[in-house]
Parts: sequence; structure tokens; C-alpha cells
Amino acid sequence: MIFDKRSPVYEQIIEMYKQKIVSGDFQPGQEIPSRRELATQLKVNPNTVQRAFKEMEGLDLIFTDGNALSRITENQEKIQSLRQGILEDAILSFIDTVRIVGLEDEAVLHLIETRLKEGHPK
Amino acid sequence: MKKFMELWAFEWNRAKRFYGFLIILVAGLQAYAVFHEYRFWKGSYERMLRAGSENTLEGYLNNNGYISFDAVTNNSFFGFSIVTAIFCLLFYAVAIWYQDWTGKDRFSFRLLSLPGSRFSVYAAKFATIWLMITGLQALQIGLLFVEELIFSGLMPAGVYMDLPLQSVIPTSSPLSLALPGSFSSYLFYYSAGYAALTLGYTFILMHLSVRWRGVILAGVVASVLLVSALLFLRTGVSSFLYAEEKYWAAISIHTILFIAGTRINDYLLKNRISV
Amino acid sequence: MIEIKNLQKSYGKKAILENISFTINQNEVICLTGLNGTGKTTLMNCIMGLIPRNSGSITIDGADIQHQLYERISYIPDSLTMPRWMTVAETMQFMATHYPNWNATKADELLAFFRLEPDAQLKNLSKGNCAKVNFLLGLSLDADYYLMDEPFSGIDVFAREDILEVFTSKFVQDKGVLIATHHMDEVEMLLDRIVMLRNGRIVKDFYAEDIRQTEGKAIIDVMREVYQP
Repeated sequence: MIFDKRSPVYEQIIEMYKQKIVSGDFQPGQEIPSRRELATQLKVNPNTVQRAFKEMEGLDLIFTDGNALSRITENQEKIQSLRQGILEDAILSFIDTVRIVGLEDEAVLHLIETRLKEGHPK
Repeated sequence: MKKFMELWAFEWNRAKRFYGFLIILVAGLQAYAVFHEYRFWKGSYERMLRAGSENTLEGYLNNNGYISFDAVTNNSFFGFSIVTAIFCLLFYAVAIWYQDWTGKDRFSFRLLSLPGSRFSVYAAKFATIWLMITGLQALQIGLLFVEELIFSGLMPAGVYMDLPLQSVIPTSSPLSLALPGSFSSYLFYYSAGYAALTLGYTFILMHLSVRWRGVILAGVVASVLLVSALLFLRTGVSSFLYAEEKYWAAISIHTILFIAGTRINDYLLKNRISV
Repeated sequence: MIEIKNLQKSYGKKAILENISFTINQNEVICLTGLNGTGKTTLMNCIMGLIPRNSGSITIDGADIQHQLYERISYIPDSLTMPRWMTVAETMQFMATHYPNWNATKADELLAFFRLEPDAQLKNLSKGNCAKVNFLLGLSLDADYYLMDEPFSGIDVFAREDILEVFTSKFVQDKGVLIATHHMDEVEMLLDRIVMLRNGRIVKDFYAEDIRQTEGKAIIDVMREVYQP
């Protein structure tokens, strides 16, 4: 994974995990690599990974049972709200861009419909 | 202790080639001395015999006296072999430090960052030189036996007189320095020698610590001490002492210098040295 | 924790290091950076007692760093500093003999990882391979702290990749690591903290993630500010 060097790495790791949980790459209850292994995989500082894990535990994205490896949450509500959150972020960011371009809402909605149909032909 | 032993073994291992070369050089020069004297004396004896029938063994002996092994030990090649050994040892005693501090390898980095007391680094180098000196002394004794055996075997029987090896060492030759005749002179010369080596190392360590400033400083201190020592002697206080007392006074001074020098060197190596 | 307080090193009247104070915590990777010749190596050498300092104290967990404590610190100098006539195996043997914390298993693993020939003589090795041997010797010690002086200078890009892989592996995790380098791009993601030297003084001492969070800057941006104002 290529990291943006201008924003906190631990946040980017959390973001990556959120996306993978939502997309289904990480299944609920799935074991995730240990902090050390992940640091080696991503080629980042283990303390950074540690910070990310701590936050994710705080956000209930992952949980740890004693000394075992941490696992993805099995809480479907949590995953659902995560999905919502990501969608919200994407939409808000999209709206910001659209406002800059200056297209009217009607035209924007029409464009979205067209493109969505192209992307997923029935 | 373990660090010292390991480093000593390491230094010795490094010195082996040089030492082997030195041994061969010394032995070779002394072998040549034996050969040279043999040819010279045998030649002179045979020439005398051939010159006329009235020349007899007695006549020869009246003129020339018996030939003894001291012919060999007085030979200039023999003396040269010892002088060469001394210079080679001096060279290595200095090189053993500079080879680690200068040059591409900069092994001093490793030596100075080893765990344990840094004194072991100093002691290992000093002990290596000591071992080289002592080894050469032992070698010399062995060589004398062998050379004597060969020389007496080669010389015509009537002309040769056996002498005890100890008397064969001339009183003021390089050999008497290497193998002093008595224990007391051995103690005197070698306590002075090792004290001098220690102080020589002080100069080297000063150079490695504070570069030329240090050497000049050491030189100044040494000169001051030397001058005050000479002045002290000129006061004639030594005339109050018997010879034996003078002897022990000298030994004590050598010992004090050795101990003081060693402690200074330890301090320099621990606190002032630079890679 | 290694604590350096008010370290001063001068050559005659010229001060190379002035009033240097910082700490090396046991689970942090710290980069000591500065332009060429600003005293990074001098500082490293002072910590290890390889050159004398004029004033200041250097303690490890409160005790003055003395030669007896050197087995807690693994120092990797900026060149191999082993005699040319030795073979790789002989350098390893030398370290094994003198360091009670020499880890032979680690050493063999690193030997295989770096693809080094134990019987190769140092004088026949390329510069990159010498650097790998240097690393092997330093990392095969089980120490609490690792001090590395310019680990990447003069090393070709592939040797660098190999060395970097070791950095992110288990070999240096949970250790205090101090890396002196100005090659920031290689190690940027591995650092906890950065200590910046300029003209022999510390001008900045900060956590990488903090700068990214509060100022949205990469470490290189900060370096640009400090060294090219």
C-alpha cells in the first residue's frame, strides 16, 4: 500500500480497514494479522500500527480476546453504520466537487443515473 | 580476563607472519655467522698446515690461541641479527597500534566499542610484544646451543676449545642485552626496557588522543622530568648510596615508571582516545 | 532509555556539537538528520565513547554509559571497520567471541537472507556486500538499542531494499533505534521521531505522526523548511 506522507499513517490504516470491512474483503470475525506482521507487510513503524489498532478497538471495528490475534467485529449493526459512513463521506465529497463545477441538481441526478446504468447493465 | 585472553590470542594470531619472518631472519643471519667463522678459521688453519711441515699444531696454537664459540658470537653478522631483531620489535610495537587507527580498516572502532574493560585492549597489545621478546630470548638460547654444536663439530678437534655458553656472551654486545648474564642485570635492563615501552606507548596514545598537540605536551613533560632527574643526580646524592642501594633504587624507579605509565595509558584509552 | 544531556564537543575553538539534549526510548525508531558534515557521526561517536566529549552526560537508564554497558547497545558504524584479510565467517566469530549477546541463529538467518558467502574475504566483497556484512554483525546482537550511522550511503538500490526489509522485520521491533541519515525517503515510514541538527544544535525534535496530523506536512517538507529557508 502506498501511503500519503502528508497525513497520519495510522488514520490511513484505519481507513484501509474500514474500506475492506465494507467491501467484504475482511469478513466479520476474521482474524487480522498481528501488529508486528502488519507493520512488516505495510513497511511502516509498528508503533503506528499499534495506534491504529487501538483506535479501531475504540471504534469497535476490531476486538481482541486475551492474547489471541485481533478479529474483525461481528457486529452487523456496526458494519452497516460503517457502510453508511463511507457512503456519506463519498456523497459529501462528490457534492463538494459538483458545487465547484456548478452544475444544477437536476442535471447532476440525471448524469448519475446514466453512469450508474452504464456501470451495471441489467 | 576473558576479553584480555581473547584479544591477546587475536593479536598474536595477527603477528604470527611477521614474527615467523623475524625468526627466520635472525636464525638465518646467525647461521651465516657460524658458516662465516667456520670458513675463516678453518681456512687459516689449513693454509698454515700447507705452508710448511715445520708448522705444527702447537705452533699454530702459540700464535693464534684456541678457537672458541665466542668467535661466532663476536661476529658482526651475529651482532647484526640481534640489532635487527630489536629494530623489528620496535617497529611492530609501534605498528601494532597504528595498524588499527590508520588505514582503511579503522578496526579501532570495533576494539573500542567492545563490551568490557578497555584496558584489555592495551594489555593484549603489550602482552603480545612481551611474548615476542620472551620468545626471541628463548629462541636465542636454543640457537646458541645448536650453533655451538654445529660449530664445534665443524672445527678441527685440536684447535677448538669448549667454553661454557654463559662466558661466551661478550660483555658489551647486543647479545648481552638480549640475554643478560646474570639475573640481576636481567632485572635491571628489562625493568628499564618495559618501563620505556610503557612510556613509549604513552606517547603513542597521546598522539592518538590529542594528535600532535599531545605528543608535544608529552615531550615537554618528559623533558622536564628528565632534566630534573639529571639535576637531582648531579647533587651527588647518589654518592651517598652503596652500589647495591643504587641498584635497587633504579629498579624501584623503573617499576614506578612502569606502573604510573600503565595507569596513564589506561586513563588515556578510557577517556581521551579518539578513533 | 538513553539520555543525552547538554552534550558539547569542540575541536579547539570550533564547536561541532553544542548543547545537545534528547532521549532515545527503548521502543522508538528515531532519525537523527542534518546536512552533510553537521555532526551526526560526531554525535554517534560521542555516545559510544569513540571520541571524547567536552561536557555533558550520556546515561543509559540513569547510569553513565561505560564500556561495561556496551553489550546493551549495538553500534553499526558507517563502514565495515573490520580488517580486510578476514572472511565473513571470521568477523562473525570475532563478534561471537566478544559479545555474550551474540545470537548465532539470527546471524545465520541474516547470512542466508543477504545471500553472503561465509568464506568470502572482505577485500573481495563489493561495497554493497560489505554494508550487508556490517548490518549482519550489528543486527545479530541481541541489544536493547541499535545505533546506525548512515546505513544507506554508497549502497546500490537493491542492497538498500534488502537492508530495508530487515528494518521492517522482527529484527528491530521493540528496540530503541537511532539512525543517522539524510536519506529520508527510504526510512520516512519507519520513523517514530525525527531529531534535526543544524550547525551543531538541535533545531527540531518531533514525532512524525504529530506533524502529519497537526500540520499536514511530510517530513521532507519540514526538512525543506529547516535546511532551505
